[in-house]
Amino acid sequence: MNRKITYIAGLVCLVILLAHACKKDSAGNTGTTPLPQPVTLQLPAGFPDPVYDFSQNPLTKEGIALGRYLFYDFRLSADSTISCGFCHQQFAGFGHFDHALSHGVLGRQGTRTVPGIFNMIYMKAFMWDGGVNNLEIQPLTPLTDPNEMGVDLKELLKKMQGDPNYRKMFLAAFGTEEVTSQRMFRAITQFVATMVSGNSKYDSVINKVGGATFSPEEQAGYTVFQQKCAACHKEPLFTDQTYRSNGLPINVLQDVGRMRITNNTADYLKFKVPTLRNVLKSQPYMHDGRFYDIYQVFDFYDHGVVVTATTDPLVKNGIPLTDAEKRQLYFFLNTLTDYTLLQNPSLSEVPIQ
Amino acid sequence: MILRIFRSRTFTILSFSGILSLMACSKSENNQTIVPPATYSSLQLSFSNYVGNVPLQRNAGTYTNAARETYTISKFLYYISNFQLVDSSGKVTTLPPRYFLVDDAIDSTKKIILDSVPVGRYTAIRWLIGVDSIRNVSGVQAGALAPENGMFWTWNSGYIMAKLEGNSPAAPTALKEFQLHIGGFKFPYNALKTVTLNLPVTAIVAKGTQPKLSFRADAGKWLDAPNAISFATTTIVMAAGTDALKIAENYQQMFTVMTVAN
Repeated sequence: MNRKITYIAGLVCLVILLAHACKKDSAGNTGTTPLPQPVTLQLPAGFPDPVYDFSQNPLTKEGIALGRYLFYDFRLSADSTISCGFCHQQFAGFGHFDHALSHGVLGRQGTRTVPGIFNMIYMKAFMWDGGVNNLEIQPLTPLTDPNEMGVDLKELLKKMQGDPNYRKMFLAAFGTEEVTSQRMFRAITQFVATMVSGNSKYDSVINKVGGATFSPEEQAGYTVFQQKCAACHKEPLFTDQTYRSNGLPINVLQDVGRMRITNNTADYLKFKVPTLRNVLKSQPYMHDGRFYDIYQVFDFYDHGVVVTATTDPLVKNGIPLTDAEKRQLYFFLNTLTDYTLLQNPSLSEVPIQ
Repeated sequence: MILRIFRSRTFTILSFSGILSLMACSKSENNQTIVPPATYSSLQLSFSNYVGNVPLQRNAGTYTNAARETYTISKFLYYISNFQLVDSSGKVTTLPPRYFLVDDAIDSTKKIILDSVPVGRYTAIRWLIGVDSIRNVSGVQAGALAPENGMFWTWNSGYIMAKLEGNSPAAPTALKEFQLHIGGFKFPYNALKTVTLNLPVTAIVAKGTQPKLSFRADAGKWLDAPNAISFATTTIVMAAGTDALKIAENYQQMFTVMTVAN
């Protein structure tokens, strides 16, 4: 499972060893910049292989550090108010706590809720409608969207090239001071790649770590989950990465979901199944954040489904849940909170100079 | 999440020895006929943008389409990539992958050099208008393919293969502008088009020479045939779909060879 990443890291080490060897041989090579230090991710047991191809963008300490700085730099937005981390808050599972719709520059608002961005290296496509096809280019959308960070990419690159601090960090991460969009996006990708969540109580129970066990209510909730939720919120990622219409009535924004991406009426009102990991820390819920409380979500599936031509067969008749089952589900979902993600000091905000 | 610096020496040594043994294997088994190394030279392509028979003048020239609507052009850009050469025996040589963005506003983009061209006598050239599907799904790219060139759709990943923008009194938009951004690399809206152009004179690529081929790209062809485009009904195209497909079928016809200089 970890083999691929380890292999890549191993290759990087090899290349670096060889490069060092060459350096010693060729006199006159100043070699003032130390090479970036390879980093290997400790990936959770039982997870699938990452979808993201690290071969073009091997993780390094300096690359991750640059990505982290970029992630928290509000100057990446048109009016220097919005950083990536502004909407993607660590304590909220890298979603936007208590905000139904995403915020942007000049007080603007987007049309969907901020998704939590962890375990992104396992995702095949991005955004609620799956419109973005590669993790590296994902940041391009919020950066340039006028309702989000609203920046002109060319201007931004020029600005960063003029900043001695950025030049220093690009040099450390990529060997020269040149600021390019490819380097910038790859660095952000490296940082986002380190946001992996697979160390919740649920994981400890499943992987039999330290004798962890579910309480009777958690266990009952897990059984309800397996019977009524797991078909879409598939373990271990708690999403099967499909696009489905869950019977949520269309909102006032007339958001048709994935149909906009595929031009196919069969995709009307379909949105990506979100993960349930850290779900109790990442309210509000649904693609437009219409529910602020997880019990509203339970109630919606119990008796709020509105059937259209594209409503998923699995929810067409609702998902009946008794009050006891809702309570049990709540306790189970609570075991999906991963404090090693929410409180990891290496993912927290960094001061911007 | 724990980050850990990779320190496994054993693994490094293992992979190192693995590669060494692979090298050893390939050496001992490579007893086939030795093919003499091909000699390479280069080829220069230059592009002149036209509308019909007159050179394109952005924001200045006024033109008329098949629907008898007048228009001006403010932006004209197209990707060309995946070059192939055909010799007189019909043998097709695929050149190493290169991507160029020709932008009418930037003269330096209108002259491109293809290197690593095997020496030979070529009677036709072939390229893709746009960016192949692989590059549309492989993450962030650099150079001509860098996203800041404004030729990449952010909300629905994929390259804009070619772009024509301007104004027409027939356009129903507030500022009378039209914007034709043509893209799409997936079935059923795959707008990738290949062009094959026969050369009127054989291009002789030899060691130390660089034949010069010049081409005309007629922006007017976007609007005429086989699918007549009226700005009254096709004004803004900014997604893959049937409109993009129709225009791609049209612009597939836009290139002609002007000269071949050996």
